[in-house]
Amino acid sequence: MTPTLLGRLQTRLLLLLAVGLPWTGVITPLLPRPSFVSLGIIYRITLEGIATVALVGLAWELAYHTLQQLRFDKDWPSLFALLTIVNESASTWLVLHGLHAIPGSTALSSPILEPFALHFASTWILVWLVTQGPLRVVLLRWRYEGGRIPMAAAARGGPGRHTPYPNPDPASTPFDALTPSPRAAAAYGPAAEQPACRRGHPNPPLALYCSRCGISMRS
Amino acid sequence: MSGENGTTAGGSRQHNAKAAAALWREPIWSDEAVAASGLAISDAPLVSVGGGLGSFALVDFLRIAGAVPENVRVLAPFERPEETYRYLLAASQIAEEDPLRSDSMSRIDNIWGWPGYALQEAVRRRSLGPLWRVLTEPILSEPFSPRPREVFAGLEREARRIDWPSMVARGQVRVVRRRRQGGYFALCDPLPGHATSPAVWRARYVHIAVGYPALRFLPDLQAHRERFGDVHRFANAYEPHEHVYKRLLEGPGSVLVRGGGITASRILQRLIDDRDRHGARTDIFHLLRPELPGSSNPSPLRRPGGAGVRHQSYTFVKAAGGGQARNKVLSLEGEERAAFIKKIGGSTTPRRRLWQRQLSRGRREGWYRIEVAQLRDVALNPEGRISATLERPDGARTPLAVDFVIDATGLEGDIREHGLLSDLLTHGGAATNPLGRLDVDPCFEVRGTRSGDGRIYASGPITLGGYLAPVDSFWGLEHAALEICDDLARQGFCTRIGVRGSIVGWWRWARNTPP
Repeated sequence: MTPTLLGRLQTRLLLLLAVGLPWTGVITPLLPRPSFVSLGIIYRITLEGIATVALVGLAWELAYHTLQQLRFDKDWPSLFALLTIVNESASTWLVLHGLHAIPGSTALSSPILEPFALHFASTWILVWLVTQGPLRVVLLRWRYEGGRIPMAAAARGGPGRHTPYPNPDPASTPFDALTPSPRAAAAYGPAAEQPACRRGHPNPPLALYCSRCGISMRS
Repeated sequence: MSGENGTTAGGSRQHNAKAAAALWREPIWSDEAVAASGLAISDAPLVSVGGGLGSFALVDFLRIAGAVPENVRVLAPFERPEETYRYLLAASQIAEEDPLRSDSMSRIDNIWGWPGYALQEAVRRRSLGPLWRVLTEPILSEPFSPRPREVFAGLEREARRIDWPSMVARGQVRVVRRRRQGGYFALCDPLPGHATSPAVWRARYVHIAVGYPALRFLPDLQAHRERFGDVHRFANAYEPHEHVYKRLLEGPGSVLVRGGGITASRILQRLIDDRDRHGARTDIFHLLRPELPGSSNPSPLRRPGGAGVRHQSYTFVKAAGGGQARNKVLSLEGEERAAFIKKIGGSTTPRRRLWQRQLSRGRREGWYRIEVAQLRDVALNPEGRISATLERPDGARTPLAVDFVIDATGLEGDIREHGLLSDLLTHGGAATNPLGRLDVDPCFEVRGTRSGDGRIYASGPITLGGYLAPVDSFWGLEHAALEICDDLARQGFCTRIGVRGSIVGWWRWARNTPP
């Protein structure tokens, strides 16, 4: 992937909305949760997690974009897109605690860590998989635009111009190069034994370019 | 037309010229004038001239965008879209199972690029290897490269699906001229061996994708061939030159390979493979141009390189296809754009471990030598070998005698060498860009050639220097096709492929049902 900065931001927001949010809705009730935590609280944590990834992620994208400038190809390998789960999950975990969206300590012993990690990892991998291919089917131009999402479809075009021009000469015959007319065959005779290029240099029968001057034998 | 003049195939051109003589002088043709010349007129709303991968990419898009086969004609000297490509691959020593220089998602037979070639190869070989490569490229592994076998298989399937054969009209387009009432005429010669009269196609839209207009023969190669009539000892990498390898298997020999690009790399591999597997005893001289020193600076901002060679995964930096570099190219004009395109492209070769290992072994064992010099005074010596002088940048001159020279310096010829393009420049209103190729706008319309409601588009290497850098690649052909298809949709020739059309189109692709 060779994203531009705008493409990064748009792709992140779109995918979290279109993939991350529905996935969160489906997966949250299935997450293991400690007995003292209600489903409502877990929903709050996962949804606020998505919101955090969307917002804090905008800053991360700036950092990634800066790092990308160090790459000669100005690309962002798939592996990076997958492995940034490490820093982003940590930042989300800390931010959610800072906002008191997750109660308790940030330590790895937190009982919330398991549902958080399962939700975060599954969402991240799902979004990553979508960018690895299926997104290109939905948004044909996405990969050509550095990840930008075309906001408005271009003009739909005018009246159908797929009809041929009116034919002034109804007697003209359709072109068929494969079946020579006897008259033309008589005129041209058999095929040349040794083809020549436009400048007259002789060449072997299957040559694509003239061996003397390099010009295309088909020009 | 036909009958009274020209009785040999060699006379066919004169014959054609005579019939069209009155027309020939006119830059703009009218229906009446063409009819009066006796040439048969056929109609098609759009014709694509060339019939190779460039035509294929566009026609694939158009079919998916709703164009019916009757509205598209491909004027081509051959029936299958991969024929020229296959020829160039074979000549430059890339076999069916060798890696190309392309990535997994740049699929010439799938406008979405998904599933990529890697997934297809993984399924065919029942191996996770290709998928691991795309996951970890270019950090932990070398970039994945598709193999011709995969590309050809995909092309064949897609050609059948979009009904390619029904759109091909075989012939050789000599000129495209503007039509007084709008649109264009394409004058199509019969193929040698297919005796029939020339014909004229009348079309509103013309797409020109004729590939490489010529091989670039450096003056010394051309002079050598003129002087000695020898095409045997001084070979060009893009011409069939199997005789060189055959002779080198028969006994000890020496060969000089000129060029620092990927084709030179592949030829070196062939020579070394022959040494390793078939016992050839070949001494290899690798000649690099002094004006192109390799970058010795290991900074990630600089292109990595070795002695006289510059390394790069693809012909252009990756972001030239659809990222930051593409945006930059889009924003630049004229000389600035040309300079930037030269900077991110140029003659480079990917760093492949196999090649690195082979070459360093060759240096160690003394049968592979890099010479950074100019080749001078190339001649055939009395024993029939090639004698030459190497002129180093410091002025030192060393004589050299080798059995063969293989020139791999480039597949870039002048577009004026191509009859159709040169006519378009002279009579069609087209112009060249600062890199000497056809000047096209961001939608790949050839500037200056409009005729009423008609348009001429071009794609492929003849458009290098335009608003897209990697025109000469699967990605570039597809990207150009997308831009042209969208422009044609704006004019009502087909529909714009939107979200729904894209998903439906992909589903049909996946099911292998007609678009």
